[in-house]
Amino acid sequence: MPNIIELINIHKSYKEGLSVYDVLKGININLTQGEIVILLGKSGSGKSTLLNLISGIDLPDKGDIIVDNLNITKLSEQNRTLFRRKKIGFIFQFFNLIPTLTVEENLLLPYELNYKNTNGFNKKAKELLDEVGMLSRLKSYPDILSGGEQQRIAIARALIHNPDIILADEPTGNLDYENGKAVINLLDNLVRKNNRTLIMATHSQEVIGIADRILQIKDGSIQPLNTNQ
Amino acid sequence: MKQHEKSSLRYLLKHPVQLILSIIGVAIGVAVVISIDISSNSAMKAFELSMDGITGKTTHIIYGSPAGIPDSIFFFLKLNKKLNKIAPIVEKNIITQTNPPFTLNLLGVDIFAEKDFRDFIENADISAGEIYGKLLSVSNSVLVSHSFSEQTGKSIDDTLKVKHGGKYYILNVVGILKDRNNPKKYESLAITDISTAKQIFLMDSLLSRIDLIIDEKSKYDENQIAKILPENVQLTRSETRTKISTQMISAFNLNLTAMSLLALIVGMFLIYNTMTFSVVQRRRHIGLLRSLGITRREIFTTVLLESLAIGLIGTIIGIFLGILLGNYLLGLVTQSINDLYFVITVREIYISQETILKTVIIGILATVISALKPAYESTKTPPRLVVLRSFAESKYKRRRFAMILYGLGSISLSILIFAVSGKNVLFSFIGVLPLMIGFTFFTPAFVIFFSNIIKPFSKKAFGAIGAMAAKGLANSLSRIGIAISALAISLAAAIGVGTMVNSFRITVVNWLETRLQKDIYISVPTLISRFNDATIPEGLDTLLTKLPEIKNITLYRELRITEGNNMIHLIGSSFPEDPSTMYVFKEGNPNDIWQKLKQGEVMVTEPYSYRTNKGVGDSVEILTDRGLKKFRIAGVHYDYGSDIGLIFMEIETYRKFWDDRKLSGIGLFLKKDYDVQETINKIRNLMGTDQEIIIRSNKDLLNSSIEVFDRTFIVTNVLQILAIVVAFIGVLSALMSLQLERTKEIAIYRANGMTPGDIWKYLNLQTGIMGFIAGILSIPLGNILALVLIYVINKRSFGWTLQFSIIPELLIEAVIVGVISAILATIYPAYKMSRISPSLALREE
Ligand SMILES: Nc1ncnc2c1ncn2[C@@H]1O[C@H](COP(=O)(O)OP(=O)(O)O)[C@@H](O)[C@H]1O
Ligand SMILES: [Mg+2]
Repeated sequence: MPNIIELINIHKSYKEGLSVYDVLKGININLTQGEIVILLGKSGSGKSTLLNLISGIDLPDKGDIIVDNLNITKLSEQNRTLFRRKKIGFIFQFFNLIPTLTVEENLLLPYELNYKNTNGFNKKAKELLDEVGMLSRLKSYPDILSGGEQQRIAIARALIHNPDIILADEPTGNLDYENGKAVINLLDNLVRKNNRTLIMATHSQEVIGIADRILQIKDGSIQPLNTNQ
Repeated sequence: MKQHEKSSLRYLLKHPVQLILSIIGVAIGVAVVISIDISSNSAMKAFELSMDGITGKTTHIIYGSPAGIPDSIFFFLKLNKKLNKIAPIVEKNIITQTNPPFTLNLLGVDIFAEKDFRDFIENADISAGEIYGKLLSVSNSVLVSHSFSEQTGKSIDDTLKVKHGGKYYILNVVGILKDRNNPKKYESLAITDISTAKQIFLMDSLLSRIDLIIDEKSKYDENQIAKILPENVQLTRSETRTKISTQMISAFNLNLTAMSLLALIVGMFLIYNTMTFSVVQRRRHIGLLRSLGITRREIFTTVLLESLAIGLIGTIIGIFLGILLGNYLLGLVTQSINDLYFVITVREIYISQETILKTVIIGILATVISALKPAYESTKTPPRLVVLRSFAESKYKRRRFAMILYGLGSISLSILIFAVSGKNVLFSFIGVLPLMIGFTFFTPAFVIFFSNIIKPFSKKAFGAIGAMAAKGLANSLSRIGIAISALAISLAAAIGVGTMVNSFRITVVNWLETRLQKDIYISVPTLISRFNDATIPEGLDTLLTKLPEIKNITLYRELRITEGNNMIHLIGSSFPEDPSTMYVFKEGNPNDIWQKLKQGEVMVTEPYSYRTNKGVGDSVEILTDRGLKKFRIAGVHYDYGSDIGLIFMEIETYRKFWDDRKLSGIGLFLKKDYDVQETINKIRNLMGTDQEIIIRSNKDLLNSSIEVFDRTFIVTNVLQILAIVVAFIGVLSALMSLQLERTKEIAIYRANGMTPGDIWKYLNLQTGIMGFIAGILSIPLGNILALVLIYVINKRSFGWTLQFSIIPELLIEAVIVGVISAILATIYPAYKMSRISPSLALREE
């Protein structure tokens, strides 16, 4: 099966004042379509940095990122944004729903960006919201919802435009155990059902049950998983 | 509407106070601009309309000396040359003793010649036959306009007391003029028989002008008539005469427009401020949109669209406000025009579609231009969710020296604009914008520098919280910098205008004190304060020379003439003593100028020289009773009496070239030991009561001249106040945004044990320091702005050199206003924030 994501010798560092932090020092990863991969690592190890590189939000200092046969490191800012809009669905630790838009409108945002019209939106939105169990909150503003509810909406938002890749950055980090588990199960179901590729960054090992593969990031590179940790 | 646009709009609506303030800011800026436009347009429109009533179908005018042209020319043309469409006119302004008083243009006409020229006879509400009969049989008969009649209650058979040249006359109303299509047309016109007018205005065998209609059917064409005319008169087209008058006040209008733009510029900073804040506050929101795939371009257009919406709403409100304000300013503008240029009566405002369209474009353009930078900045927001605020701050701090360079660049740009804009006032004014922007680049460096200085003092005076307040400034420079800049700009605008007006006043007072050296001045009341054309009774000068008190006497004659297409003042004066102490020369050798004046040369004022590009050695060509004559310019002197040029000649020269021995004024030097006030009383008794005469000591004349000066600056003062209002709104909005945004920070302080009182103290202290810094920053900028207004804008509008003076009171005032307005603007946010629950700090992120 062809690789949907190829990371080739990725280096990334941050400058702060005069000092330089090397966050990623030569990362190589291949992912195939439909895989669910968990990115494990301590806080500050560079998980978010890596996800930002895959989504084209940031550029690596060195190395190539090939997504669906396209080397996104060679794209302009504008084209990287268009790439992200089409191919990526993002789920964040802090949900990051837009507070000034209703649940429905939050979903409409990526849909409209991709399809330029709203044909078929209602059906798709209802379907997804039903699947995440939030159909009744269609017209609500996100800030009245609980964390778990917000994250379910965020999952629906990440899937509404049928992106090939879902990136989830500590999606349970702000949820209690029950809610976290529910969210993970939802993600697992929906991603597998639609044959999407999921990369989930997390620092806890509780969620690794759903993974096809687990990658551990440590000292700037991918290391074999040490389950005794 | 796209979802991201919708979310942005809702974001704005969620912060209604800031939104409303910025709309008000635009509205006031726009209102000032349109109100000036409306009031000066209304004045011009009223003037043109009254000119229409006077001109009628006249195509050409024969004019000569403003003192009058001999009526023999009329008889020659009518009887010898058999011109049939020709009308003699005697014309002067009168003031009616009615309630309200009107200034009317009294037109003495030959009633039988009129039917070809003006249509008032058809429009009178009595028959033509009756008009002829009454105008000729009733003594001192007059026709007045319908709207005059309505407003004063004067109708047919009533008597009308009027005043001219300090004397009173009784006229009899015999008919009412009415133009159904255009009721305003005759409003300030009164018609009488030419013989009555000659009598009232002492114009025996003289005419003000002769009106002609020259068309295809005429016996002679324009050139032929010009040839047969004697050389002491000239033929012009009637529209040229109107144009000359309107052009006279163009500099005045232009200057007002430039001043009104200042309010708009301050308004632009307000928009800039609001948009920048709303972008900075939304960094997180924008970062989120970016990570969901909204492109930079889409963010840019969204922010620009927001500003467009604010601009549009602000502009619409501004237009309505501006119409109200225009109504108020109209009185002031009309007063100034009456003081300085010519007599007009304006009773209603005139709003053209062009004015509205222009304002809409200016309002929206100004908003969008001010939003360009924030919109651009917003696209720089990284598509990241954890926006590292400290990172942004440290970047801002690090870049402060680079920003000084940008500032210097921007200031250089404005200097370049001033340099290349030549005499173009509005283009010059554009240079003010980069000047102000340039200054704002200095703010970060200055704030860091200054907060370091102030920290120990603040600590000493207010303890730990004092130190925190000062230190906090440098740590949230990215937002605080903008608020301080906005405040400084506004204060600077106030300092700039204030300093300009005060410098102007100081210059004028100095000038008047140098010029007014005689003990007593005698003149006759005139309608235009700055133009003394009324004549004093004949023989008064000989009478006065016989008084034992008088040491010597200066004769003075002032008229308005045209040179080419420009209206200028001509003054003939005698110089009994060495006048070199009275005049300060810009060009020419003061020692031999008097000699040259005696030989028939002239001196001109600085504005004349500026407008015409003429100096010593050039000559002035004007129409005299001896034909067109050239006079060589012997000197250019400083003069602030009138911005329309002024030519000065020895009265003997005047009398040689003009057949006019009337006088407009007399100046007296008294012998020692005689009291000025006693002598004034003596002269007054000598004069009797039927002639109103103004006899003033030099101190009184000085005071009344200053009074006129101050009056002409009321409009500017109103504009200055409005600029300050816009400024204050700017501060209010900037500081409110700033404070409300700090909810989180304050919650953390609260959680760490600061009491609501501490918070209150902290915030007020901090904004107080901000206001103080802004005040200090505004001092150099304000004075530079004053320099620009004086040496660029005023100089290029009017052509005069004003002495720039630093006005310390204004500077102190700016600092105080800065501190007070900053603290005022903080009261509400500080109140709200001191009540923030510390639990907020513990929620999310
Ligand atoms: N924009 C940035 N500027 C400077 N340093 C950054 C930036 N983003 C992340 N870092 C640093 O890079 C390292 C990795 O961060 P991150 O990828 O967010 O870690 P994780 O998501 O694994 O917790 C951290 O040390 C963090 O401080
Ligand atoms: Mg992270």
